[in-house]
Amino acid sequence: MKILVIEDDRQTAQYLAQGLRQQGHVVEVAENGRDGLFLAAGEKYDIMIIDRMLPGLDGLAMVKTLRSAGVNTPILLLTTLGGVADRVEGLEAGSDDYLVKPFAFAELLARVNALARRPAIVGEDTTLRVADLEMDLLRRKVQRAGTNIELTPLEFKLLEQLMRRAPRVVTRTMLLEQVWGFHFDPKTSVVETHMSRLRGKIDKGFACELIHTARGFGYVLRAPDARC
Amino acid sequence: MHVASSLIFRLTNLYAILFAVSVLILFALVWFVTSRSMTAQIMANVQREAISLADEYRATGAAAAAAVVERRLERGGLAYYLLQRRDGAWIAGNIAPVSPVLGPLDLQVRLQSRARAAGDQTPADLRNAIGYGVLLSDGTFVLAGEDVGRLEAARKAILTAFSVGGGVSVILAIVGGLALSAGFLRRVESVNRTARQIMAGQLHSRVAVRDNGDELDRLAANLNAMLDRIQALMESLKQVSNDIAHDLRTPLARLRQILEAAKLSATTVEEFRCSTDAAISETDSLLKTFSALLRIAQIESGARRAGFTSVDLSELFELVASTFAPVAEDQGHRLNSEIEAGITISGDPDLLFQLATNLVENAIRHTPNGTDIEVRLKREGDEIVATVLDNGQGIAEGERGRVFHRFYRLEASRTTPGSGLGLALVAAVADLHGARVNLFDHRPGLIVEVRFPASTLTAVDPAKIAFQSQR
Repeated sequence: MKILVIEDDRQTAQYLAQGLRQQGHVVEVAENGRDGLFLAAGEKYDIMIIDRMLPGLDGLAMVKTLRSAGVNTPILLLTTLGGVADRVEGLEAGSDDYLVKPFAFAELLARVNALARRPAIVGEDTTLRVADLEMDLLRRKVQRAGTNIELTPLEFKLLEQLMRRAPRVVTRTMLLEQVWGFHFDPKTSVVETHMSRLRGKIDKGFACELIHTARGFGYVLRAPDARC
Repeated sequence: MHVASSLIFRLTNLYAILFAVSVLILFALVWFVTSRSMTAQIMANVQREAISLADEYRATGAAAAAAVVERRLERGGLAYYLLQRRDGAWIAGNIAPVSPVLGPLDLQVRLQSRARAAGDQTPADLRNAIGYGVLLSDGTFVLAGEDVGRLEAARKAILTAFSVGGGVSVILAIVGGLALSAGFLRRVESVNRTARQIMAGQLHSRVAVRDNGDELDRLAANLNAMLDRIQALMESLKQVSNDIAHDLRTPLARLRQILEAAKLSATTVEEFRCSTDAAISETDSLLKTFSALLRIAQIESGARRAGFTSVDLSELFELVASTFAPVAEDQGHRLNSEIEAGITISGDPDLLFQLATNLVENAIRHTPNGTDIEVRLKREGDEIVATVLDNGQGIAEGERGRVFHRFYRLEASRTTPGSGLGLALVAAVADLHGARVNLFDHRPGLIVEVRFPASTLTAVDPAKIAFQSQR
């Protein structure tokens, strides 16, 4: 993918560019808002990662400018401001996701991947399918290989997130934000506990596992490979 | 202070001008009304005189009329009469013959008979008068007049009265204005003095309050309340800085040890990876502590009250219970809930969720295996009470107040991971919502009760928050 990083802190910019290049992406870096806007408006990118506080041009203003100019490239805002109001402001300005500094690189990568292939909202399906797992969103029913599986509301929402993003990784933070809908910071293993129960219901008794742990920072749901 | 820019000068000026203008208007009014009514009166007099004289002439003839004129003149007073023939010859009266004018007229009268008798005529004998002329059918002209000296004297008296009165009232206005504004400004100056003292570093000085409840007094009281609040916030800030300085040194020191040990003794990539993982997790917990501190500070500032919305507490507590019941179970506890439906308050949903999370997680993390935990939410009269109970080891009575301090950790929980900020956050969130947090003994165990006031829609007393955040 071709990614534009607009970040004034040289060290952070380098860290991002290097990490993304290692993943095989083409990365261009702009160190201030003006250069960034020039690049963003002129070239075609798959994703833009924009720091919220930029010299020359504020990141928020920049997102608004780009959106009003008809640039629809997915935008991930980076910020040190983690308050709910700040998040809302960022998303309302037209960005697609919002990541609070400091963050783990894996988290950023998961979000970049999620953004890149975010499906169009139009014509949303009411049934999600991954391999032999089927979720009926209207009747709130889940079946695997034709067998009904009873899930709690929380487990249902967790599975829905995983299925919507399959086969991409969903991080623990993304799950907390999207399933619980509150910005809170549990000190107990909330996500892990519910995921382990979900796995017990989805994968237990089946030959192939669908839910996998992603290197300790998230989860992924994917169809079993040939070996299984 | 420049004289013209002083409020005293401007207020006094304003008073004086207002007084002068009102005196002037009053003067003009009195002058005009008096003049008019006196002129009208004189006019009526002379008209009556002239007509009655004309009647006399018609009835009794010239000689009798002349006798009447003489009689009238003998009575004295500032009256003028003239009786003259068609050819302009003088018959009677004290005015020289004039060309006949009918109806009302202004006269300049030269005193006739007496002046002539005295034999000297000076311009001083010219008198202003108002007259009324009647021409009879045989051409005889009858004129009666009255001196306007009376009117002029009255005008003069009015002018004198008003110039003296006006002068006095302007002086009074200046004196009164000075006195009033000086009194007012002395109190303003006392506020200024206090402000200067505070700027000079005397943070404890306050504006004097007279307790008479007037506007300036209320201003002073509000300023004092504001200063109290600012001082409380500053003290809390100072305490936070101290806390940070003291309590973040430990994890930083640990981080340094990890890195140092890696540098000295790690030889394989695997060992380095192990050390960097440990360093990263140490850094993460430091960052978490920082964001928790920032969050508490932000909550205590009260800024989040602007974002209050209607929150379904029942739904929120149900979600907390269903979220943590499996977590509690995995750790060998039992979590039950008893939540009354349909309880709604005005608040910040994220913060309230964090409050409930912290209370339940405390009960899960700091109790021995096999503990029963209960989450309750119910109405009690006007109040809404959220309770988290456990039958763990509880908190000794002496320590219950201190657990709300930032970084305070009970001896028993020193070994479990945590920042010691959980209950400080709970206290801050409760304060923000005007709620009280109480700890009770569950014999054995702990009861944490959060009591929301009857109407959390009403504004919260900021002084209370200021006091509580000083804890």
